[in-house]
Amino acid sequence: MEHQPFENWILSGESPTASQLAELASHLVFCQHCQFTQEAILGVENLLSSATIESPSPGFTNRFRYLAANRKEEAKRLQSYFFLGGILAATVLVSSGYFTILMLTQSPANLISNLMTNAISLAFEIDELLVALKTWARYVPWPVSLTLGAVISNLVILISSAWLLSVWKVFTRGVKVHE
Amino acid sequence: MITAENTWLEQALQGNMDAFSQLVETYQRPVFNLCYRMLGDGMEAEDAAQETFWRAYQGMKKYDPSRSFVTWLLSIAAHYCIDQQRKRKLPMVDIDILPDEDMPDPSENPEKVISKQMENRALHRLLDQLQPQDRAAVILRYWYEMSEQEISNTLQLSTSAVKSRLFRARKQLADVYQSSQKAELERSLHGTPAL
Repeated sequence: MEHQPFENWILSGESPTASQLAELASHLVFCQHCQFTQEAILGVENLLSSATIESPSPGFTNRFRYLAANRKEEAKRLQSYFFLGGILAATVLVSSGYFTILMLTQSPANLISNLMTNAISLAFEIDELLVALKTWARYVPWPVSLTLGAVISNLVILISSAWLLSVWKVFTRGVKVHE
Repeated sequence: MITAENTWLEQALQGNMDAFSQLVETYQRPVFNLCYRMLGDGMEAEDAAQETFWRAYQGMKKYDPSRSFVTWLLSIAAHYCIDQQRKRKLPMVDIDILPDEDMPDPSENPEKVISKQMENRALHRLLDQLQPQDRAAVILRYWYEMSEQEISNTLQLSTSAVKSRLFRARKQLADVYQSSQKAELERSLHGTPAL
């Protein structure tokens, strides 16, 4: 037996027109297949319409706030690790690149001899610097030297502290704060 | 007109967690219900609903204020649940062999509780037969009374795709319902306990 278009009308979920309804009613009288289909879809729709809207257990919003706080912390921590890891990787990359260039452009013997030459010239330069300092001390009054020394050491301490502070901040709070 | 929701939305867009919490408080029920009907498990539904709100909080900049906020939330929840169901890649588990995930409210009438649980089981057994996207379409149609156009916006499908998915789902649900009715009838005739 032909079940179309009756089956489509039953399953479409749209209300059939008056003429369709009449045709369907006369078809259902002798078609058991469509009758069962209609009964089944009515049963399903009844079940669906009688189902309630389920609620989460109490305290859902608080649990969300806790989850959000944890996720934010996690994201910040991850960001710090990426930031510091990036700096470390860049340092390693630049150093190894520099070392590779040195190894490619100079023989090991040359490299060692250059290193020794540089070390010796550095020692001479330090010696010259000490002589210059002694000369400075002889001609410039000691309060001026002391003030200058204090200014330079303060500057060094200030710059190192700022650097340490920024590293600590990045490590504990992350690079960018969303809120 | 400025409503409380608009104010919360505006503040939440600035990253205000208190305002967003108000939105969570308001919409937790529809979001949880969608997740529960999609996944069929209270614990999984709780996780999915929490994840939905977290994704919404993170993606607030992408929210288009001309759209309804709850529809946007339901869209996030539906997509998340569809992904979760696809990830499972396991055969459908018969709801009968699962432990009861809902703690019955002691103040409720025990008969009511049992009948509600049985109805929920029958419902989940039916919904479990559907493909994730068909299931989402049915849930949005029957629980949230969304039109085909609204479902297509929520699930990012064409209206004709929604129509054919709903048709296919109804046919499948009717078939399963019919066979379950037949099985129940046979059980009652042969006196086998319906366990």
